[in-house]
Amino acid sequence: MTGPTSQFSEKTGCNNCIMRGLGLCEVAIGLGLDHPDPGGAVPISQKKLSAPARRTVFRKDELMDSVPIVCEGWAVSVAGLSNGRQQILSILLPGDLLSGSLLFEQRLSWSVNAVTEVCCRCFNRSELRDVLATSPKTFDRLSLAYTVERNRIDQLAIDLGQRTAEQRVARLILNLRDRSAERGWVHDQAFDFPLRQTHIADATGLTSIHVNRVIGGFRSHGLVEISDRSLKIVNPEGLRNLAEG
Amino acid sequence: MTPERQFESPRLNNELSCLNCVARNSGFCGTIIGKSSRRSPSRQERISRAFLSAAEQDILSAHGNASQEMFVLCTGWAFRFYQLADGRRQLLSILVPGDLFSAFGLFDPRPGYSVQALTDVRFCQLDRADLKRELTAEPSILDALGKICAVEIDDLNAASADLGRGNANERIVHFALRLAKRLSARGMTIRKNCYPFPLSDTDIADITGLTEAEVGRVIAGLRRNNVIDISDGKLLILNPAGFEGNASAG
Repeated sequence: MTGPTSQFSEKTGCNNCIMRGLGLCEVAIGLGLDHPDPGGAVPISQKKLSAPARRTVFRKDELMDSVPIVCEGWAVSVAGLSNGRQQILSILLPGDLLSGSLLFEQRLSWSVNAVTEVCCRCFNRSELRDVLATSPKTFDRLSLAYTVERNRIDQLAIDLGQRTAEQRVARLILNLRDRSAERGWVHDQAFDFPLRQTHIADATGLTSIHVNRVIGGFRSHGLVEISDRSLKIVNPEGLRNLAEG
Repeated sequence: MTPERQFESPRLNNELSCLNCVARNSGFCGTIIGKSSRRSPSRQERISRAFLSAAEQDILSAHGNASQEMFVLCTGWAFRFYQLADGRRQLLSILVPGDLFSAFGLFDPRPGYSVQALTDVRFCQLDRADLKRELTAEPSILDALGKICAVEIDDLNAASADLGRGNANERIVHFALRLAKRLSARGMTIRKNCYPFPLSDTDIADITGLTEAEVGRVIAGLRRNNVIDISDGKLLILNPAGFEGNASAG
């Protein structure tokens, strides 16, 4: 079995990244790597970390000296309960900050698992924090990413506490469609979808059997098609109506 | 049939100040205002603020309403919630004296949630622009607010994990233990392992995603098994050792 691997002290490597135009990376890159922001301070040291699919990338309670951003692949942040049960707290796509909390806390409060092969760039926390106060652009971008994270957790609680199984799964699919669209990955309502039924179950608080039934219902009603790690929303309006109840 | 209650807007209350506030040394104020006032007595004056009062059940902040202020609860209890179109609601967090309505209020001028008073409350509104200026001027204050945000994130994640994967017993016990831990940190105890608890079964149901009937049954069972007791506006942790290890998912 192969664990995560990392290389330290790289200052380049984002030149060809397709995520560089997405808010957060643009700030990190603009501040230190290729086109230093005049308002920024010094280049932000980073290390690259890779992990194969289905491996733990970061463990709960791990002490982190950096703030990772996902560059490639899909990952999930996971809270474990007793008896091996787990709840997926967020699905992380390229361009996503692992958590804004890591700007202020060293200890990770949950685990991060790779869904596909994953590559992250981990920006030095103290250097990143140093520029927070001096660069309004960095402050605004990071605080926006942090607020988006809080709003996502609010929505998860609302989904889990109040919404039906069909609504939860439909909202998960639409959320991933919207986030994929921001990244230019949606073509004719189809996008990469590497999640397995167990991931969907752990993200929606359902059993895999229940998820199977729900997805089967979506298919038979002509709402979605899932094949070969790809999902196509056949009837976007119908799925949205279902999601909104 | 109970007549529909007419909600009032919060009222300005000029009799309040930070000087004799019980929350001044705890929560957000203890970390930010108290800390800064020791370093610079004039800092409090540089952040424009006003004090307001509201009655039990009043809406303190409405979903989607833009605001130039951040709010901190001075006295009483409140909760942050989201209401669905059909009237159901999910309580997202319980607010006690010293809590910001949300630590993310600094970054989020149009919140996607509402805040309602659980008891009669007094609260303080702070000018966001003034506060942001102070935060960026002193990294230690930004750090303190960032840590409060991190705690809010952890608490919400733990609650979501329970909602998704916890059984009814776990949802209620874990919620009670998380709340007890916060109340202990604020010195809000009645006696050892006993805390004020103004939430109704309906509120608990809307936090834990259960029905009121389930909440009643679960609490009765937990009382019988000497785990926790909730009655007469008090929360009593009877056997904290038995559940302490499971208090926060992660």
